[in-house]
Amino acid sequence: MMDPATEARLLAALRSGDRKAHDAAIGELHARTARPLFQLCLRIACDAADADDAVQETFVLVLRGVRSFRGEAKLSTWLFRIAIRAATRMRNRSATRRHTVVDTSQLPGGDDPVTQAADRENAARLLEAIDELPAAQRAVVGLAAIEGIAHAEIAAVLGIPVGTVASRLHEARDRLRALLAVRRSGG
Amino acid sequence: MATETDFDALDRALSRTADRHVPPPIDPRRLRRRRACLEVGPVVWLLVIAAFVVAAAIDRSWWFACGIGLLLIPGALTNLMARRREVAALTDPGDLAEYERRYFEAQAKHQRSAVLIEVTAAVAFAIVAWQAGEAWRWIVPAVFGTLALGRAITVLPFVERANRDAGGERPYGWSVQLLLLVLFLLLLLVAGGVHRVWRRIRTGLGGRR
Repeated sequence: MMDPATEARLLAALRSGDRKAHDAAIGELHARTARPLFQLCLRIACDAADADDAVQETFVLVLRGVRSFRGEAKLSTWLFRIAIRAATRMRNRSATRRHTVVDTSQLPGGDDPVTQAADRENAARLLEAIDELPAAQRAVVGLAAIEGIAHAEIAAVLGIPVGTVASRLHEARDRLRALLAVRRSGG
Repeated sequence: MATETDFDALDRALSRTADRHVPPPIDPRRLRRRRACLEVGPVVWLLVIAAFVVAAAIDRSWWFACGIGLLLIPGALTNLMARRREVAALTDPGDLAEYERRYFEAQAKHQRSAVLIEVTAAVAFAIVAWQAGEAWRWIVPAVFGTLALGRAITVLPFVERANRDAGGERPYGWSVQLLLLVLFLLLLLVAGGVHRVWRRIRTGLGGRR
C-alpha cells in the first residue's frame, strides 16, 4: 500500500508545523488508505455508514497520536489497528445495523445496474453473516479482505502469531459458510 | 452447506460493492476541529460540573445538591483520571482488547442488577404511595420505573452486545440475579426482625432508659 520512503515522508509532513504540508499529507494518506480502511471497517461495523464514520474517526485519532507514534510498526499497521478500534466503537454505538453497502460510484464504464443491484444484495447477505462472528474473527476477515495484505502484516496488526492468522481465518470462513447455509435453508 | 463457490461469490460481491463506494472526502479543518473537541471536551465537562456546583452553592435551596456534588466529584475525577492513565498506558492492541473485555464484562454484570434494583425500588415505593394515598408520592416510583425502563431499553442491549463482541464472560442470568436480590431482601427482613427482638428483650429486662 505504501513503501517505507512514502511512509517516512508522510509521517514527517504530519508531524511538521507547516499547515499546508500537513493538510497535503492528510489528503495523500486518505487517498492511499481510505479504500482498504473502508473494506476493513465495513466488515467490523457491518454497515457502510458506520464504516464511513469509522474511517473518518481513524484519521482524527491518527492526527491525535501521530506525534507519539514511535515508528516501531509500519504506518499502515498502526492505521489498521486504530481503524479496528474505531470501527468496533462505531459498531457498539448502535444495537441494530442495516447491513447495507451503497455503491455511490458514478464512474463511467462500470458494471451494469443489474449486476450492481445483485452485488448489493449478496453483499448484504454476507454482511449479515459476518455480523454474527466473534470480534476476533471479524477483524481477521476484514484485514484479509484488504488487497495485497500479507498474513505477516495481519499478524502484526492483531498482535498474534502468523499461524494463528491462518487458523482464525479458516475458522471464520467455515463459520460463515455454515451461517449462510443455515440462512439459506431457513429462508 | 453453502458451497465454496457460493461463499467466494458473495465475498467478491462484497468487495466489489465496497470498492464502488466512494468514501466521503476528508477535510483537514474538520479533522482538526474534531481533534480539538476530543481534547477540550473533558475539560468543558469538568467546567460544567464546577458551574453547576457553584450555582447550587449560591442558591440556598440547592445546598443538598451541592453537598452531593462535593461528595461525588472527587471520586468521579479520580476514577476518570485513573481510567485515562490506564488506557493511555495500553499501547499493545492485545492489552487494549483485554481492557475493553474487562470493562464491558463488569458493565454487563452491573447493568442487569441495576435494572432489578430499580424495578424493586419502583415497586416498593409504589406500595408506599398506594398505602399513603397521596398523589405526589407516585413521582418516586415513576422516576425509578422510568430509570429501569430506560436502562433496559437503551443501556442494557448496548452493553451486553459490546460484552459479547469483546469476548467477555456472560453475566449471571436473570434468575440468578433475582435470587441474589431476594436473598438480600430476606437478609434485610431478618436484620429488621433481629432488631425488633433485641428491642423487646431490652424492654422486657427493664432496660428502658
